[in-house]
Amino acid sequence: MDLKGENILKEIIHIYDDLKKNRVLLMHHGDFSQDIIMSMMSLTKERLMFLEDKKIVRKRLLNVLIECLQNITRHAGKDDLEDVFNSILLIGYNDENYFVVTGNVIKSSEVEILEGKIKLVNSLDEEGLNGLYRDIISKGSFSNKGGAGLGLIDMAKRSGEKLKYKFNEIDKKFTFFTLETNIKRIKI
Amino acid sequence: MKALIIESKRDTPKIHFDKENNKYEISGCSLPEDSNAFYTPVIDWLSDFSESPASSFNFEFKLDYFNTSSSKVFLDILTILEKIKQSGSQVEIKWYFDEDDEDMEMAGEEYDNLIEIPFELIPVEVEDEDF
Repeated sequence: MDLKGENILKEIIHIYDDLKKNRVLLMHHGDFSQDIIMSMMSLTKERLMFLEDKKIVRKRLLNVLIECLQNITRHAGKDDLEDVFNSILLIGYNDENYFVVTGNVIKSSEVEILEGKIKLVNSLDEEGLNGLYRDIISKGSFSNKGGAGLGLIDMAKRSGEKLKYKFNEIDKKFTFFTLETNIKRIKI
Repeated sequence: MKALIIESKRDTPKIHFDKENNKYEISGCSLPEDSNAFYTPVIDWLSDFSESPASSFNFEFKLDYFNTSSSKVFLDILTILEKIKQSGSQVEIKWYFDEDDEDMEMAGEEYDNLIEIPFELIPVEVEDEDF
């Protein structure tokens, strides 16, 4: 899609149609400062009010949202400003689930560790996730940045499903990381 | 001892620690980007308090949301309270949670398992939360 010059006038309607057809609740492309994250939280909460799920669903979705967005800010390669401003968030839904999808650039050197953490999280059931969570917070293997995969564990707990992810190598130095978390809807 | 009162913001909770009135409460949303920065004065106050604590008190959590970066700090806070209890004070934790939020209830149960202090989980009716 080419969004330059006169094309943008023709293309925006298609973007609009796509978002509407795919039931996109919220989309943001750009950076995720704490201010923007909190605005995303408020906006998402407002929009969820129209969809009549039980409150616990909204709470789970907002908890997943804060964890995955703060993860992006934590791991953003701040040396490459263009990439920091090019993260993406998409929240979509169907009748059964919400989908929180984020995409952001990370250093290729971090892929292996990150993938290891996600695989570990995905290998555990609820009891296993609780145990790992407990271990990490009580043993203090926890950086100032809050890493240690605690966010991923929390997301998996709230979801009850496996985290979906993908790494697309951009070049030797940078990789595009996509993460999807599903949250089951429970109607009022 | 001077009270520590920090008003809530969109992403940080209200802190109300007041030895004179024997009230110790954390309430609202705890979603800071850097929880160490926000909680340093809170931990410092509690460390001072632990030098000459009240002989009997309740410590109250009334949270709508908290992120994982706050969860470690809460354990640090509870660990200080556990030491205060071991030194002879009567300490009880009151963990309030929205009755519709079973995840917040479970989070309280998790802390209860990790800490040797009487822990009361109290469901409350919440109309709406804001941040």
